[in-house]
Amino acid sequence: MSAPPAPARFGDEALPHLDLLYRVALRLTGDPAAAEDLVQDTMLKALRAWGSFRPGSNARAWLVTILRNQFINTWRKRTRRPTAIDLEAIPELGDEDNPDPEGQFFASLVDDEVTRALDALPEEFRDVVLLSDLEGLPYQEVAEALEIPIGTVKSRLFRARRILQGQLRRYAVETGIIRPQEEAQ
Amino acid sequence: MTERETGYDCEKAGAELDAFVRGELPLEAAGRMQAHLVRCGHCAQVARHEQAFRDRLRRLSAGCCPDHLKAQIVELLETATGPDAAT
Ligand SMILES: [Zn+2]
Repeated sequence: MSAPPAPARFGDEALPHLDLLYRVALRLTGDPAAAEDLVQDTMLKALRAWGSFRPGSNARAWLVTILRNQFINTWRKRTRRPTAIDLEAIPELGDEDNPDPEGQFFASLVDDEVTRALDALPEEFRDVVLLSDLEGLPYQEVAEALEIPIGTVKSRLFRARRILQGQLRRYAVETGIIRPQEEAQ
Repeated sequence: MTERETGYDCEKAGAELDAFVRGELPLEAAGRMQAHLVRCGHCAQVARHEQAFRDRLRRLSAGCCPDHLKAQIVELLETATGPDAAT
């Protein structure tokens, strides 16, 4: 049995992740003031739970887990979420009729469009994309943070990316970033 | 060893592509993937597509924890655990 981590180590382990925690909180709540409160609550909660942290395990994933649970348990009730998209209605990106196979149009999309598509994903898909693609956490840490198997992380990511790509491509066609005549080849 | 000998084909490459784009493939597997991408225009195109998508998503990750919040939290930790905690 290893000794519980010294309280003094908490700051060393937790403070370097404040930027990430804030960004995730902001993405979850959609509101800067709420994000600040959520980060504070998370740090307090993490400090109280510090004795159960296993030294040498991943503090970043541990903190994200606490933040997300905190959000689900208290904040989400107060936050209005946009209606999730109907997954079956989204045409997935097919290889055959793709006018921009290298995805150059992605770079032309403005943040609002990408954010809207991301926020419309069902939560379990949105969260893996948020941690994995936006924040660059490796599979293993995403699995720890969301408390799901790594295989589930990969399959959700795969599905989420296809849905998002289909959604964004449709948007690119609608707004003329991808030209209709190319679309209709 | 050639791809024919190792049985490394588009299907196997496709299964590892996401990990490759994330830089999560072990060195040996990444080398195998790179060799495949040089030879296979289809997979190379898919790889560029996935990379472009990931690059776009990563650009959404912006912003820092505001300084005043950092200060509040440091202070909070000091109060809770003594001055050593937040150093
Ligand atoms: Zn191939």
